[in-house]
Parts: sequence; C-alpha cells; structure tokens
Amino acid sequence: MLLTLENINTYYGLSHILQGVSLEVDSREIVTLVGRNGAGKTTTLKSILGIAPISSGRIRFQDTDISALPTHSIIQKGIAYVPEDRRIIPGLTVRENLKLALMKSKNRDREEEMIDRVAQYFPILKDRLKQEGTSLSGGEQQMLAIARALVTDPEIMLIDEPTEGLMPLLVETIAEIIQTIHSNGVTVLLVEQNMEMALSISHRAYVIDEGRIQTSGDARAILNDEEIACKYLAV
Amino acid sequence: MEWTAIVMQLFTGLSLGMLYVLLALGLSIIFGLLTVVNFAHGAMYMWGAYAGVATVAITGNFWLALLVAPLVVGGYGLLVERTLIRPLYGRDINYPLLLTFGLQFIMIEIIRIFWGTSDYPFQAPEALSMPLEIFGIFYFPAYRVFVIGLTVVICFVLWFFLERTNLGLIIKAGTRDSLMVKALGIDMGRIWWLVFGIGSALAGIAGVLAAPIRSVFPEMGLAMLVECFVVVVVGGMGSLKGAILSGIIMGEAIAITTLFYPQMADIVIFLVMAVVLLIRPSGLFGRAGLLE
Repeated sequence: MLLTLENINTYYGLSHILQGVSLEVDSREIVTLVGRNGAGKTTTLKSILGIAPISSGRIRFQDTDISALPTHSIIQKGIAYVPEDRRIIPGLTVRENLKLALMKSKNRDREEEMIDRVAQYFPILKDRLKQEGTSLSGGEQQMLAIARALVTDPEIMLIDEPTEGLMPLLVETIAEIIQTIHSNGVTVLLVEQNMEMALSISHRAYVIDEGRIQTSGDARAILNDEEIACKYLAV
Repeated sequence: MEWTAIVMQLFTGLSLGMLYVLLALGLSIIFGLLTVVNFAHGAMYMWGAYAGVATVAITGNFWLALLVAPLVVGGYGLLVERTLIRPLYGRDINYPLLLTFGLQFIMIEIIRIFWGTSDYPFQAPEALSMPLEIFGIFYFPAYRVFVIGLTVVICFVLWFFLERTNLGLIIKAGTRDSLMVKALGIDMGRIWWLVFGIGSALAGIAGVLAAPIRSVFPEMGLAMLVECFVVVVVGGMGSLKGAILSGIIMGEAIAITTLFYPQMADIVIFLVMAVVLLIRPSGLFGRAGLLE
C-alpha cells in the first residue's frame, strides 16, 4: 500500500472529528472520499498532512510511519496537497507560486523544465507566469493549485474539493485533468462533494459520515447504490 | 527664519527618521511573519547601544562596534525565539506580547546590574566628527549623514534579500499564508527563527547608530519602543514600505515641530497617528484583516 490510515482519531479542541478512520490507497489508484459537508473529509486530508494532528492511530506512507512528522517533512516525502479554496498565495506571481512548491522538492534544480512540463497540462498558465496568481479566474486558480502540486512530481496528490464553485464545463475539465495526471503515474486521493464526477473517475471510494468510514468499495457500485446515496450523501 | 535653517532641520529629521526606520523595519518584519508583537524590541535597541559601548571600550574601534552590535543582538534574538517564543506559537497573540513585555524589564535590569543606571557617553568616530558642507549652503554633522547613508544601504540590502532571493520569496509568501507555505514542503519554523534574528539585529544596529546622537542609558529603549509602535501602526502593521515611509514622516514631523513649536515636539507623532488612522484605519500601507 502507498498510503494507509489505521484507526486515526482527530480532535479540534474538544470536538472529536475523526473517530477511528481507516483507509488505504494503493499505487496508481484514484480513491475518493465522499460524504456530506462536515463529515470529516477535509479533516482526513489535513490529518494525513499533519495540519490537523491525530491524537491516536497511525498513518503510513510507503512503509514509513509519518504520523508524528511535521507538515513540511510529510510533503517532502512525495505527497502533494491541493487545498480547498485553492489557497493561491496573494502577492506572488504564477511563476513564484510554482517556484515555491519546487524549492524543497526533488526537482528544485529543474525549475524551467518542470514549469514547462506543467504548462503542457495547463497552457493557459504558461501565458500568465508573470501575472499575480490571485488575479486569475476561479477555474484558472484551481488549475494553478493543481499545477503547484504537480510540479513537484509527487507520488500521491491529495485533492480537496477541486470543483467547488466552478461552472459545469470546468468541472468536466478538472475531471479530465485528474484522469490525465493519473494516467501519467500519479496516485490521487480525492475529496469531493460532487460525487457523480468524483465516483465516475475513481477506482474505489470510501463513504464518510460523522467522522467514521461507513462503507467502502468499488466507486461505480457506490455511485449506483441508492441506499448509500440516501443515507450518507443526500444533502 | 532663514530657509537654510529649515533645510538643516529637515536633514536632522531625516537622520532621526532613519533610526525609526531601522527599528520599525525590525518590528514590522517580525510582526508581519510571526504575528509576534515584540515588546522587547526597545530593550534590544538598548542592548545594541551597550554592545557598542562595550566594543569601543575594549577595542576603541567604532566600526567594529557597528558589526558586533547587530551580531550580538541578532544572536540573542535567535536564542529568545528558540527558547521562549517558539513554545507560544499557535496560541493567542497576547502570549508572546506579554512574554516580550516582561523580557524587556529583565533586559533593562541586567544592564543596570552590570553597567549601573547613569548615562554612558559615546563619541562618534574621529573620521565622522567634523561637520560636512551640504550643497554649499550649510554644515551638517558628518555622523548624521553617515546614519542616513547606512540606513539607505540597509534598506536596499533588505529589499534585495526579500525581492530577489529564494529565502525572501518564502518570507513574502509566509507573511501571507504560512500554513500553505508549510503545505508546499517548507519548514516555516526555521524561517521564523531566522526572521526574528534579522529583526533583532536591525534593532541592535539602530542602537549602536543612535548611541553617539542620543545618550546611552538602560531605559533608552522605552520611549523609543512606544514611538516605533506609532511608526509601525501609521505605516501599516507588517508593511515594510509603510515602515520606511512612516519612519521618515515621523522624523520630519518631530524635527519641523521642534523648529516652530517645540512644546509640541513630544506629542506630534501621536497627532499624526490619529489623523492617519482616522483616514486609513489600517495605516498607510496596511492590509485589512492581517490579524484575522
């Protein structure tokens, strides 16, 4: 297994957010974590990254225990993060946003080459390297957020709500991009509220509700299971 | 009144403003990145002056003092960040504020114990003790011209460091969103440490530069700290551009008021602050929501 979460518990203050979450992601998979707003999806990603540290349980990446590592060390091991709301850093150009991601990665000496490579995925960014990142449109900012993760050539990308607030046409584009990234050898752990999109491009899925994994299995089977949809995913 | 007197006073204001600039830059860069309101900044300025006094007493060399003071105070800043401030990250902004508030009194007391409470004279170096002719119209102390020149150089070096180096890019990004910078694989802890050291070193160099102009005594940083907070608030918390502009404005405001209405000189900066904040509540170059 590439990434394994064993029975992790995470608290925000006194609130017990993740209550014994276990999940696995194998190399070359696209795995989706679906669930309602507030179910614990984003917290799961933040726990993997040490942003919301776990209080018990274990997180393993490529057979190394990363549970107690600080965020920057976890990222340096080959995990890339595309956060909710994109979090493009204000005041920095598109190029500077990409450069920042490259600084501590294994590709730090290949800045031009790596930026060229991600520009193939996102030609629109290539023309805007000197523009301030936050001046881009919502969809372009999402592409920059994905490019910023991709530029480090990660083993796995954790992508949080990439289609949030985007128009339907762009949702399709993002889905295609994730599939292309995957076909180039990157494993993806996706968190989405747009479960139709997410489940249609994923291999497997976990359904989370109230901080617990309720069920898991083949993504298409979950997509077609009306009972699951009613019980855990209906708004 | 002769206009040369006014020009001369403007020069005096500029040299005073430069001390504000150096101190406010240190305060501002620390606040901007670490959101630590460093109340020990005035005491660090005072330690810079005493480090200068000690170096000159031992070696007789002012130029060496100019190097030793920022190194000593910067090194001290690194130690303070690692041992005292670091455990407080992630807590309320008041914790480091209270800690450094207490620390400044400990620092003052240490100086009182070893150097006593009286003033130390500190001579400008021989080479800078003569007046310099400015534009052929008046004479101005060479030392003050040196203070202005050195501050301009330091500002340029700082600008180059922040705008043209990788470390500067990290600092700039960290000021805006340090969590995201960590999530890009960068160890922000080390950057915070370094920036606290740089901010402290700036206070140290301001202290030794101020020593020949103002006298050296244990409480010399107290009033200066309050004035520098005013400078930082007027410039915009965390804004370096703001710190520079506001430092110069405040130096000039004091100098000009001293010339025309000296009774007001001590409070003019507070008036300027009130006016600026009424018009721009987040300061000249402040960003709204920095503390949110």
